[in-house]
Formats: sequence, structure tokens, C-alpha cells
Amino acid sequence: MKRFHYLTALVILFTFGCEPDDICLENTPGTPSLVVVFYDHTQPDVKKQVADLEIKGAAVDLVFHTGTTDSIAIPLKTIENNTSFDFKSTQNTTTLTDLLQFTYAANNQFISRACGFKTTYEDLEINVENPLNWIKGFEIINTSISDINNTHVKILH
Amino acid sequence: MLKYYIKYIFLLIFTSIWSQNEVQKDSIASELRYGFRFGVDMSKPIRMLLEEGYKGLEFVGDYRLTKDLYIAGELGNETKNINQDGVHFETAGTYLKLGIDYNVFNNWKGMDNLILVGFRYGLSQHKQTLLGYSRLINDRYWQEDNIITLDEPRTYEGLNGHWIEFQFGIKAELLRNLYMGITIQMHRLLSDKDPENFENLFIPGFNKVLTNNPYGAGLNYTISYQIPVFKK
Repeated sequence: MKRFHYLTALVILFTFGCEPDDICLENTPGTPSLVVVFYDHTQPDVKKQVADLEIKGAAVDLVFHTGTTDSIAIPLKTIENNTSFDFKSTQNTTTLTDLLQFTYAANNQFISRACGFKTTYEDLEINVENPLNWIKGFEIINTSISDINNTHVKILH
Repeated sequence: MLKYYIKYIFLLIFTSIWSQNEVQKDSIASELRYGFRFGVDMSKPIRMLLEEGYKGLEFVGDYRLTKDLYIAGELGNETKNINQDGVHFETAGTYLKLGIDYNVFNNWKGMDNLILVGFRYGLSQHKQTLLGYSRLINDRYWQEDNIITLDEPRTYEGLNGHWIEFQFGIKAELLRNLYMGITIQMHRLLSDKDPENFENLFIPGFNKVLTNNPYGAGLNYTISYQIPVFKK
């Protein structure tokens, strides 16, 4: 009789209980950002910091990043198949802006019942409409973006 | 509340056992009835009333092989619509469970009540439809809507699941040849055919499927009728 109580409780717990599966853990890797690393154009194997880098989405007022850095992860749009960013650098009191457009094919990949899906990107390309000012060149290291563990784009300046 | 309910059921069962004993004392006693027993799971319609997005029907049956051993099985159909944080989907399909029941209860002469230990092999044929989902976007710079509702739901057909099941249950003969039973079931998933870029999140007959855990559980509450074929 007592055993039956325990078993019933166990079954109810199993059937209707809240499992960890129903919670999306905070550190779950979601939609990856584009990892951009800046290199010296005279020594393409040496990382070089960009002085007073300001990154802002094109046609958006909100600035994504300001500050000197040699690498950054920038978010790509997940619904459209292209994202444009203004890369602004201030060197010796002159401010130069370069616009890069990233194009790709976005796919949604299943993660889990609680986290849903994440967007990954394939066939990354970079388009430049206007002549570049402070950026001397770029190289796509990975055309597919599925995580943020590797560099996707190398920018020379 | 549940405690009283369970006690009430037990009272019912044992009352019927006692009363039956008295009835059968005078009639033909020690014969065992062999035959087919068919029934329906009453917990499914109850669950349909209590649980949103659930539909189910299950028939149960068994055939007595020896004094304590039965061939037993369940045939059912379930539909479950779940809308949770990550996904909104619906699973629908049919399942069959086949196996044996072993009665560990020593009946008094003429009585036919059972405490069952059972084992089943279960399989399902089902489809899963993705109706919508959310996307995990950690950096919300673009402020895109992460909830996607699919105008054309994606249906994944031809899915299946295979599992083994341990059952523990009781069956009490309420009236001659009419039985009421409760069974609890522990499943272990052996294999399943997942939809592409998605997973089986519910398997008919198996219940909820967890990501890193092959176990599941269920129960049924049956009313069944035995068609006696012969006595011995």
C-alpha cells in the first residue's frame, strides 16, 4: 500500500514534472556573431589594434561598439540575407569611415525544445560599394558561421 | 485529496474482492477461466478534459496462456499539441505495445484478481508538425523578433519510435468477467527516427521525450471485459 503511494507519486512526477529540458540554460550557444579580427596590412600575420574604432549598423542610430580593439564579434541580421556596418576609425584627429556589406544565406538550426532554434550563416561574402579609406583589405577565413570560436573575417589596415 | 481518492479506489477493489468471494463460495469454484480480455483506457478521455492540446484513445487486450501468464498488448492513438518557450509543435500517431503480463497475486479459490508485472515492446508510427519556434539570439542589437510563426507549418511524416516498457499494475474483477485496472509504466527509448533539423519531442504511447534521458513514464486506467473461451 505504502509502496503504491510512492510509485504513484513517482509516476506523477515523471509525467507532469518540470525537467531541466524545459529551461533554456543561459550559457547555451545561440545565434553566432561574426568574428572580425584586425591585422596589420604591412605584416598580414600580426594583429593590430584599431584606434578609436566605432562600429554602427548602417541606417541605424544605435552605435554597436566604441573603443580601441583588435578583434570584435558583430551580430548579423537573421531575417534578411545581408547586413551593413560602418567601421569608423580616428587616427591623428582624422576620422575615416568605411562601409562593409556582409551577404550570406541564413539557416535556422534546431537546438532544443526550450531554446528553440539558432540562426547560422553560409556562403559569407563581403561587398564594398565605396572606395575604402582606412581599411586596406580583407580576407574571409570561414564562409560558414556556426559558432564564435574561430575567426571568420580578417581585416587589414 | 489524492490520498483519499486512492484509498477509495482500494476500498472499492477490496470490497469487490470480498463480495465476490462470498458469491462464488457456493458456485463452481476452483476453475480457471481462459479467454480474451478486451478493454479501453479511461485515463485518456479524462486527460483530454484536463489537458489542453491532447487527444488520445487506447484499447487494451490480453489472452491467458497459463495460470499466471498472459500475452498482453495495447493499441492506441495520440495527438499532442505543445506550445512552449522554444517550439510550438504537434505530434500525432499510432502505437502498439506487445508483451507479457505475469500475475504475482495468489487468488483465493474462484477469485480472479491480478497484481501484474508486465513487459512490453512498444513501437509508434507518427508525424510531427512544427507550427512555430523562437530563435536564441544573445545579441539583440538588431532588435529582430525572435518568435517565428510558420504560415505554412512544416510536417515531418514517417517518424517512428521503439521502446521497451516495464509495467506494474492491478486488475480487480468487479463483476463476473468485468475488470478494472490501473497500470503504471516505465519506458526506455531504444531508437527513434528523428525529423531532419528537429527532434522527436513527443512519441505517441511513449509520452514526452527528453533530450539526454531515454526514460519516460505513463499510466492507464482500464475497464475491460473477459470473453471466456474455456475453463480448466
